Amino acid sequence: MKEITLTIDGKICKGSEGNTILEVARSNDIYIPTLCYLEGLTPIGSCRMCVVEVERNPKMMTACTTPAQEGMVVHTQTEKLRKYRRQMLELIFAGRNHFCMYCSQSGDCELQDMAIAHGMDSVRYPFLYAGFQNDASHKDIQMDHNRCILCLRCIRICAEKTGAHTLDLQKRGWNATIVSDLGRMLGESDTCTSCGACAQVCPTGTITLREFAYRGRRKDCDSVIESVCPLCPVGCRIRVYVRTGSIARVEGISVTGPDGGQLCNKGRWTLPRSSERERICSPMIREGSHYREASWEEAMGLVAKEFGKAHKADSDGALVSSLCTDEELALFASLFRDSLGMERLDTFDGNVLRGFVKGFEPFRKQGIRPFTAAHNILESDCIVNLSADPDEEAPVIASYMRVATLRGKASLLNLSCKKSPFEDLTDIDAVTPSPAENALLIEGLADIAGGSGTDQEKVSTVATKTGVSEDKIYGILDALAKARKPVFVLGGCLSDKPEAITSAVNLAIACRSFFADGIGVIPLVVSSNSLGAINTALAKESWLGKKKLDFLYVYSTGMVPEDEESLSAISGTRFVVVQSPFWAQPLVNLADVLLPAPAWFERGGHYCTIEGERRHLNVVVPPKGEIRGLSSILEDLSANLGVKPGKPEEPPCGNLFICENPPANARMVSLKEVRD
Amino acid sequence: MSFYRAHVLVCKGTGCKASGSFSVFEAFGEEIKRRGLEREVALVETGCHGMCEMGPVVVVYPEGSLYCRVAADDVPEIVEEHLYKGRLVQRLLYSTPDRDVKVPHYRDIPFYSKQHRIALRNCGYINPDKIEEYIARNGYEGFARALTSMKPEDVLSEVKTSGLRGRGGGGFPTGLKWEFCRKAAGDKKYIICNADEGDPGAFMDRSILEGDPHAVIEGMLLGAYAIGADEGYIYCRAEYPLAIRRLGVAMAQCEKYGLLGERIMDTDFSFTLHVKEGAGAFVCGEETALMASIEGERGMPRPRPPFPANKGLWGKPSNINNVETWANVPNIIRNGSEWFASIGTEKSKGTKVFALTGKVNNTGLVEVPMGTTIREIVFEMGGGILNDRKFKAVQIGGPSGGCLTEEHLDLPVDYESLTAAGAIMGSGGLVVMDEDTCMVDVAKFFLEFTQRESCGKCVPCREGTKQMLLILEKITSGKGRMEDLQILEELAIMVKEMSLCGLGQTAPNPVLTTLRYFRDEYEAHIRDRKCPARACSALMSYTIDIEKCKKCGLCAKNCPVKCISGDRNTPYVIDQEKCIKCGTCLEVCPFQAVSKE
Amino acid sequence: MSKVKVATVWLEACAGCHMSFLDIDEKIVELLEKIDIVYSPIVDGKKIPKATVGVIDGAIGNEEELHLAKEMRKQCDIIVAWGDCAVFGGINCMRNFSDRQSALEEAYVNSPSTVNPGRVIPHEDIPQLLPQAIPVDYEVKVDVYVPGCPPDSETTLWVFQELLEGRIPKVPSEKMRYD
Repeated sequence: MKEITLTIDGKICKGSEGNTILEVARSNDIYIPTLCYLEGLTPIGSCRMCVVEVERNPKMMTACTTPAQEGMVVHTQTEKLRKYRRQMLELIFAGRNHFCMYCSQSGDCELQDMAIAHGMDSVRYPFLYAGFQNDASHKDIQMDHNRCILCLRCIRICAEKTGAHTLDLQKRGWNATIVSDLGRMLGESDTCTSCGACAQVCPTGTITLREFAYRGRRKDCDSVIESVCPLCPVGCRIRVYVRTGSIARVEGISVTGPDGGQLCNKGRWTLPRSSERERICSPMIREGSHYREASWEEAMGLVAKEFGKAHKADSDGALVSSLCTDEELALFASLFRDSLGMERLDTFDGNVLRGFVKGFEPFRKQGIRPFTAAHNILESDCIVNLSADPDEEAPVIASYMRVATLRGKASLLNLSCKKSPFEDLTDIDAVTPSPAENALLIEGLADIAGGSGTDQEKVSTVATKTGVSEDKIYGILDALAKARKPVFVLGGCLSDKPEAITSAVNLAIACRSFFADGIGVIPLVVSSNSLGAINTALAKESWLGKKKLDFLYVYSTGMVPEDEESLSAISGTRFVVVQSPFWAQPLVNLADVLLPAPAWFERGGHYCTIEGERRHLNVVVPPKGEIRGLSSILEDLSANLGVKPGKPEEPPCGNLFICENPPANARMVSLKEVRD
Repeated sequence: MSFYRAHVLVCKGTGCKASGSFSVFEAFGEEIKRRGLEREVALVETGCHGMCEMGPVVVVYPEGSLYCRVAADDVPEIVEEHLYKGRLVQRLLYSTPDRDVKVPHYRDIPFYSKQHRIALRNCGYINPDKIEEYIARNGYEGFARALTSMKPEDVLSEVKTSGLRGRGGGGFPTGLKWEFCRKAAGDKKYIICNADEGDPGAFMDRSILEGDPHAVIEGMLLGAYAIGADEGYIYCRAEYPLAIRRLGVAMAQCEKYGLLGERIMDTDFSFTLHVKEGAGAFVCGEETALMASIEGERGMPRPRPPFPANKGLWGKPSNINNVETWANVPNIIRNGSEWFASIGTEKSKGTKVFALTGKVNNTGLVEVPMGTTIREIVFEMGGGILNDRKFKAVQIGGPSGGCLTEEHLDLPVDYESLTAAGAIMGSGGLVVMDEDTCMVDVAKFFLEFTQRESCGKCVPCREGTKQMLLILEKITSGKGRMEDLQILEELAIMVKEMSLCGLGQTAPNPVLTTLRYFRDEYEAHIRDRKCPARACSALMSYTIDIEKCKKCGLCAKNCPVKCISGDRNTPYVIDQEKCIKCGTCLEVCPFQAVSKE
Repeated sequence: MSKVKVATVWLEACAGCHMSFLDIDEKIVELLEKIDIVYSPIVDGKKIPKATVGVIDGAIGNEEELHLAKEMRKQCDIIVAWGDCAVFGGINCMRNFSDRQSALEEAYVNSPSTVNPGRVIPHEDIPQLLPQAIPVDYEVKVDVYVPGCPPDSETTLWVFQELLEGRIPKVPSEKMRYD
């Protein structure tokens, strides 16, 4: 990027070609007031607060949209500009309901801050008392149009990052208001994903989240900690505001990132609400159908005794959550598998993960990384949804798919047993009657695409075997052939048939879907640290239900439901120890001993996310009372069991993101490798 | 090929259609047939002649006699007298207002004699639904020559040298604008015609599109060739159904003739044209909002830079020009840039079409060379002020323009002089006002329009025009305060400088110019609570002259709010508190005892 | 040096601004050596006397408040609009989003805890409600604006100190608040 030099307010400023005046000013610590501008969203120049005077140009230019040019001389704080900005602020205040004293956002409002910064101590224009609607139809998000300054940030983030484009403007001029879905109230919208991104970017008290209203202004919070959301494999970065020891608010971190800081419906509300769930505060021992409090000594003693018996009879096991951090998983593996010699160690949803591992294995053997960072969907021009339901499995992935399709004009193909979750956006919907046909479809497509030319016989065979019409198959092949960078989103249910996963990667290779960091495949691997679990606690083969066990140590974070298979195995075990932060049903009821555990906001560590990087969690609020960090509990347990805890190896998860061999060297494999 | 001894041209423009010209046309058809004159007399439907005040307009050739306000009942007389006996029908000819002299030939009518019709060349002469008539009048000759013997750069250079400037209001040199687009990087380029014509009362573009659509098409073909575009859009407001229909017919005929489509005239040049209808928003006449509308987005303007010439429709380089600008282009290429540059003033070349309306005798369309004075337009072509009232001001440029007063009557009409005087050329709307027009009301009228049409994107326009309008409403209803004038002026200046697009940047113009030239009227409204022009009804009071009142009681009987009291012995009196100023008492009083002031 | 005469009134107000003034705590002793409060809602005065500084707290909502505001302007040299209600109209303006009649009915007839079967809205011998609640400067010229709900007592003290030094203060951004 070529460097350019300009003068702003008499200061020589350096910037890069392509920057706007505002970007150059900000990188040189010069403040220009803005209201509608938000880094990461397309600037529209509508609030006019950032207007600056540029020498030799008779017109006033908005700094947020005007490209900076070599030699420009810019003035941002002239007498005239100050006067005009003050006039515009007074106009805004007079136009709608901007009386601060009864607004939930007062003190946290960009409009208020700007008016005070410009010394607005009175409004010379008559107040207009318009009486727009206060839309309280949505159960979590409230939209009071009387407070709106029409900065259009909510429209932009909903269109550009969430991809839903639920919000837009209706009517004209002074009567214009934000509206959902061509004229509905927000609560009645069909397209709203309730991610709350609109509320996060709203500079005034127009869009507020009922959950957080009056809980504490951002300024009043005692601490602001950055961490990672534990609820899905994307692992969005979050910012948690803490006030007097409780979580006041959770936000996505930045609008400039690919996910736009949108969080999702799960992240934004489940996380803070979980801090109010009932906690297991001390060790508890079962007595009949009740639990009684016990000391750590008593509880640990009992656990050790039962474990000892079961271990001698080789009927012991441990199940851990794949929402655990790398460090926690490594600790478990080190203690149970290495120090205690327990063969049966596994994670929840183990079979799903094993399916993925098996499906990817032939490519790992080639030294190829068979998947790519999730945000690369945004670079794609053809997205293939393979039995995934992104709105459920990883909502931010759904956003990527919508944004790439709507704004990037990518084509969207659905190859699955269910209709496409993106009804109006899908170009070809190839629904098969059952997963078996779906696997055959992927296999067939990979075979045809990997060959030279389009073999008509093969197409016809695939059509017959799968029940998908020939037209659609030709359409799919055509779309894939035209695409420069197709991506393949794999749903979790594909793992039932590992060969389907191998076929998917084969298909990606056949279509030359190569990114810098791997093959263009995005696996929706269930949990936030499934990738980390694969290298540490995941068992090579499933042992659930094969033998009735006498002892099971279960660690659950209590944030997502445990899978059926695991619960069934747990309920069949004679003695169960459950370590969990919350009274999570039905798991907790199956326990003989309950041990407290730190909740997601009380621990730090790392997650290996499908965004292609290892992300760092921070402790938001330190654990209190009897609730102790995991390492201290496990040390205690080892002491009781008479073993040394052992030093866990450096969690080997970093290797998940290393590509030894360039993706372009990948070779398709025969499914025979996977079938046995 | 048939030869006719006479042609009867009936105007079928929207203005004359509203006064019944379609039935006149049918009446002629029947009468000519009845008299057996079909092989001798040709009946032609044309576009707008321009003198809309006198519509329906009928012109008979070879004499070139113009008949005014022709009704279907007049047709037999015209056929009998003029077509059969060769005698002009005197009573239907145009007569000058001051001397009441009949003017037999339309060329001599001052309305026309002072005009120099270039863009309106064919309007009123040809049947717009027949491409053959356009070609017969040298249509597509310029294009054919350009395509076959000129390079695109040469075409562009001709337009540059001609000095043509944008006729939509901006006045930007057209050749230069084309050059920006030509030089922009990219293979795909678009040509756009702005036919949104949102100014209230403006109908220049409508007349050109209805009367001579091929002029626009040929202009766009030349523009596309010069710039290197292969696709174009005509964005026409939906309120012009006749224009849209005529464009459709013209485009279909062009396609048949091979003048639109692939490989035109067997060269490598291809051009496809689409018509996109507007949906009732004045703001969509603004370039970037217009392009957003074509793209299917909400019609809101976008900040510039980037300019449409580099990043326009769907991000591709695009060139937008107004209908009248396009209509001028074929003439420039056919007659040469020198010819065009010889008309007009030094900096403003060529002619301009004005929609002359308001308190003049001859309202209608006129096309005059740049440099013509306002006096000539208003008093000679316009025939002077209606009802012999006194000239007060002229509003040029519609809701974006400004007022000029008596001292400016000898101002030559060109971009520079108008801007220096505080007005703008605009798209050509020219409203004449007399002593009965309240200038504060004029400012309020235009501001009502722009405030209603504001898209709402930027703060100054959205909130500023609303507050300005409220102040004007206060003033015209007698509740204004002297401080309001300062607030109004400051607000107007801020909105003008800070708005995002042309709508907001020019909306304060009527306010600013009326404040500049008619401040005393504003002050009278505030200080004296009186409207000097006696137009603002809230400031008027109706009083009954006791001397003249004959106590008949008619006023009281007809008063809708029963605020007049009196009886057979007592003169009637109006209760000013309850009076709603409807004026009924003044109308019904047989003795002129009621006066308003 | 004679003390500066100060008059204060509260109009359509909650009196919170006056309470906030008392929050200057012990500094009030020092202040009272320089100012003389000749009229205030908490002392027994019937007519507003002449004063140098007139502090108006609250918005103008009824006829009486309008009269008081005009009296203050007549009798005082410098008028200070004190608090959000006086400066912007404040919380009283919530009723402006509807009409006067609806507001009266809501208060006296329709609100959940009211028992008023006769639907009587008081109107005799009481000041009439104005069509809209308005900031003070709609009717009366204001010299100093101090926004806040209530303004910080520090800011109030600063305003008085500036006035005592003979200046007409404009509250700077650091000292300003709207809630």
